[in-house]
Amino acid sequence: MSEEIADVLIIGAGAAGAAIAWSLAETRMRIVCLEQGDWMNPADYPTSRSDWEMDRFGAFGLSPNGRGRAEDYPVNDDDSPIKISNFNAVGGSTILYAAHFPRMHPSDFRVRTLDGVADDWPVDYATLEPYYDQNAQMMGVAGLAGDPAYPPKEPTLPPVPFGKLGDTLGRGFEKLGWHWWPSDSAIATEEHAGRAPCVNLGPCIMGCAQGAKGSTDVTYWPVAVREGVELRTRCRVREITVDENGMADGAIYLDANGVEQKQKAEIVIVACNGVGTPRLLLNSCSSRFPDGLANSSGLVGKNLMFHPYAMVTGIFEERLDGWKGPTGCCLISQEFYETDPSLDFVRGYSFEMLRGMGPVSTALFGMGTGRLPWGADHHEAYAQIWDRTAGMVIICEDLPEEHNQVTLDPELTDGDGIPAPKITYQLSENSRRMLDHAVTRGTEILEAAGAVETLSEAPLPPAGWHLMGTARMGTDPKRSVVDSWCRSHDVKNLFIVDGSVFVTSGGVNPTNTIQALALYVADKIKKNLTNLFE
Amino acid sequence: MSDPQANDEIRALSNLIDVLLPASADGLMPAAGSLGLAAPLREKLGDAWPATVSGLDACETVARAGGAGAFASLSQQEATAVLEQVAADDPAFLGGLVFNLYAAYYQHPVVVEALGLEARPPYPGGYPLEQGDLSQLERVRNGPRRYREC
Repeated sequence: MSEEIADVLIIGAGAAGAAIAWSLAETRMRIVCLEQGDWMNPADYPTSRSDWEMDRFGAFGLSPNGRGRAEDYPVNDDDSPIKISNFNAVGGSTILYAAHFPRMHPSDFRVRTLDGVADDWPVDYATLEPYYDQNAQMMGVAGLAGDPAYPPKEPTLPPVPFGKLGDTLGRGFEKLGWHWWPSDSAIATEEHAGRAPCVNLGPCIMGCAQGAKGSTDVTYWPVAVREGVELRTRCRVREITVDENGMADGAIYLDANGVEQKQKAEIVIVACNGVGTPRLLLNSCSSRFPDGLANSSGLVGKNLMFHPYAMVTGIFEERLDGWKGPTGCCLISQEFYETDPSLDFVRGYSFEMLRGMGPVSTALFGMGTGRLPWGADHHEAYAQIWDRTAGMVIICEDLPEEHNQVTLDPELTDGDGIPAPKITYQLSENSRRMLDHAVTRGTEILEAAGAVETLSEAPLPPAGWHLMGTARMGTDPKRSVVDSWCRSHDVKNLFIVDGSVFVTSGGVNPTNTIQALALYVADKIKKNLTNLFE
Repeated sequence: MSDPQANDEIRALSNLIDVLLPASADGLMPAAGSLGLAAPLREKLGDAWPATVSGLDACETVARAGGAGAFASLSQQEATAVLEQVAADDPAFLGGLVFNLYAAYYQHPVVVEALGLEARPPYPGGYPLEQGDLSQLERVRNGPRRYREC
């Protein structure tokens, strides 16, 4: 047991835990962060090896259920058409994310007022804007100023190159007269804060050996640790403990040797993502909180939102140079982002244009889609798809529904015997209509760009990257878990700073907003230190 | 000491993958067996290897039953017909084998170079990629605001 009481205990060293640790470090409080994963060694990332493409089926796969890493915990997602994708390490899921880094729109925070659905957020875009800017500096955001889809913003670095593939797709958008723009990406296109510039390795989603991608192990954490934050790895928190007054007083965790430890703290901040956080809160039962910590509303774990994804791929006659360059998103289109009353769904979505595939992925794509036979005709068929694919994922806004939820699985546990999460999720009718529209429009883009054949899949099963809504913000303690600065309504020294607190999901990747919120919360804590527990 | 039976099985697998991935008509793409992929493929197949051996035996049986001789002696067209028949009787036979074969083939240095790439891992060298034509964006840049003020 650690005898020394931390001023601040942060649980989780991913996108949000890193940001809030860094921001609070200037207070010189004693800050301890517990992370169940370990530091990643960039030399272990697949792009250093010739067989790099196959690692997505192994140690660098998206699902924690298939990687076989001791740092992961299992997730029962059998009752969901969308499967969980995450990563457990210093840096969390930013290790495997594509670093696509858009902001939410101002309207995303006012969906009840504007569109009559879900709830407004208790914060707005203007409140978060300075924290988006701060985060852009720390994460190193590449982009291009002047996008009319957003209030004015100045990216830190030049945009990610999009090359011939992007030119081709851009011509498609121009033919249709639709919005498109180089995407904001947390990728160092120039040397930035000690990070080497991107050299277009390709598969950002298997870790960046170059260190150009803005995962928080190479952005916030080195600075936070230098500033005095203590980061303890291979420490899996079992439960948050409370004192006789109902205040959080620390956490019990299993260290790297599986030995139970306790860390006492004055303030506890949870940053374990939209599945890990409700899991931890529901595992933190006590006589005072028999239904889980911070759960008087009964909403911990409820209102789980993913982003239902579609994928549309086009096959072109010309080679596109698509096998190189950052995988995730070179271009974005928000032509259908804002609610259009003439459509049969509310809210909207983003098109995120992908790069092409490597040689092995091309073969497996051809095999999986039945267009690549073995035998005498194989090479001719392969030549028709090699370096001739381009496409997109389409990220649809999900709306909160209480029956979509994270609970504790009655049987499944992690390697330390801690109950594992179970996902129960159904696509809404609104999401289905949005996906249908998105696939039709996405196909139009590719055809306008010159695709001779297109194919689509919706929803995309392994796309449970964005985990939101399971400890939502709000002003009403009966209808929310945390208040407008992410402090628990029930436990005044407990904060939550990950995607759990999202009221709605927007139609963009959430990491930038998660981190902006974490920086905002850090500032609120710093400004209210003298009366924090009132 | 080498195991004669194991060597025979590897030879049979090499013949089989030559049928699955023969050399291209223009000669640019090599046959899979000529790249020595059979032995590593056998390792990759792991627990699926006994089922693969059964499939290889079935190919041999079907080939000889047809009166054309050993499977290895068949033409590409004849061998394809045999393989299709065996795969129809045992649909699981080729699935994992072809998956692993494609993976091994398309990361082999000879094949990677034949595709016009350098035979090396992406890191540390990386690749050049041109910016793209940003002037195409002028219409969008000068167009109306696309977000709602609120």
